[in-house]
Amino acid sequence: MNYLWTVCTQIGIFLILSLSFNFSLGFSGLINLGHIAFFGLGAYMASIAYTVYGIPVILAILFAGVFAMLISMLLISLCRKLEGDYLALATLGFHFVIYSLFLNLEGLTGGTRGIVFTRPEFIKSEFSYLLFSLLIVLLCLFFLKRAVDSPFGKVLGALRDDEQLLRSLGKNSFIVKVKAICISSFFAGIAGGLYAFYLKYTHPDFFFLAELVVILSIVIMGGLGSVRGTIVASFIVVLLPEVIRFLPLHSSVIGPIRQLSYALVIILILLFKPRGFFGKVDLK
Amino acid sequence: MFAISNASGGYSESPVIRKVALTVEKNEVVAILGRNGTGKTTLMKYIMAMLPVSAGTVSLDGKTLPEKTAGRVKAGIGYVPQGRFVFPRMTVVENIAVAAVACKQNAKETIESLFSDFPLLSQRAKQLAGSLSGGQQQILAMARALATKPRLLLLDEPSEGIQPSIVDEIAEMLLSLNQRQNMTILLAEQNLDFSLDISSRAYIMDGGTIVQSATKQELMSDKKLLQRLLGV
Repeated sequence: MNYLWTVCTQIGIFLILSLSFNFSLGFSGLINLGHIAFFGLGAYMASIAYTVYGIPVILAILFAGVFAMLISMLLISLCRKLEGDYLALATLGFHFVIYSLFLNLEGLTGGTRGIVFTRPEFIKSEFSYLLFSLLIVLLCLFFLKRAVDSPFGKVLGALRDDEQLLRSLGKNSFIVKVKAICISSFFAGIAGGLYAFYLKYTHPDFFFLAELVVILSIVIMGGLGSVRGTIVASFIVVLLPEVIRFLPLHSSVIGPIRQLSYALVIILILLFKPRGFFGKVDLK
Repeated sequence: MFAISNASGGYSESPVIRKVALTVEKNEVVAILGRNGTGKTTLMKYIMAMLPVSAGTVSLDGKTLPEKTAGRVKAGIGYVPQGRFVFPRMTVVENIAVAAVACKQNAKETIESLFSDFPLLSQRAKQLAGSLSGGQQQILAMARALATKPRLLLLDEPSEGIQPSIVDEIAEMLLSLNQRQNMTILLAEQNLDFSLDISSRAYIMDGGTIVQSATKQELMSDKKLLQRLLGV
């Protein structure tokens, strides 16, 4: 049964990670390719807070979100004049900088050894951790849904559709961007914190760019700007490699087939359902 | 009273408008006329602080307006850009709500009030703005600008690319706004008939500056002047 609980926990974590990515990309139109870096920053922050400073798990995860949010505020301030593809390139560069820091700040991150730890007693079993993470996932889902349905969510839609027009209505679009990226990164950090405690091990390889392909697959499949779509697609995309695991194939080809499956998902959706399952916005 | 003095500005290093000065009295409707490329849209963007300013000031009721777009909207300037831009993937209601929220107005009250002024929008409340016809989008763009509760409404070529019957409707709406709600209006136009229908006087732009101002009567009586300045 433990296997089932771990898969369910993983679905929850990737749901929050993907929904927070959709918050910036689908709801706000901001192409933040550094999203996995915030996920990683959250994971390292939670691991360090818990192992080095002995901060309780729930606070460590909260700090992870706040830390990712603060760093994102710095990043978006530096990228103030960039939009569209240029913002995408700058955030991609940011990802590599952070990844490099994970690898090389050995005193803090453990470098290639990573950080290994055990979970506290109350969430030691996989089932108890599933319940714990489910509670946090539901809370995150509640707040993100409220945010997109609020008047601020409409302003985000306006930012996505036409930033200059939004400015002409008297809204400071930079402040809106800062808020959008901060909220998105906060929840990516929370997902990172949950992921660290899920694996009980934090390593730079977990936060390489390939993870972006996974959440991009979820967002494209579910549809830009759709909470419902992200939920459905999280289940499908996380379960897909688990299904492949049980195919009668040699272990050496299972890894590449998993990677191929994500690429295939993206290509098929782009070809036959460009808005994804429940998307409100065209991919362009 | 709204006034611009010594306005110069443009894009990057190239000035498009030079030493423009004009005034619009309270409750007045004034047109800025000119051919393509004479700087009308640039002047509108200058007023909204949406492009680099080289020199000049913009004032409303004797107060110099802030240098940021947001400040100018809050000071009471509503803007309907050229090309009837709407947020295409948002509904009619959401388009208006965004403007109300941006200016910290009560969105629900603003929508109700605008729907009673523009019943056509009320019938299409849940429709995506991008699926409306050109004329309907223009009306939505006007309603959205009004949601910011302006004292001066700027319209950049509101009749462009719209079928004549809808242009007449827009003219009636603008006249009604001016007469019933005392809205001051400044519009940039190439459509002379539309402009003369609703405005009491006009400034004529050429080469990025104002070359003449004339009353409605002067424009209507002097066909040679129109031909020389506007090519109509």
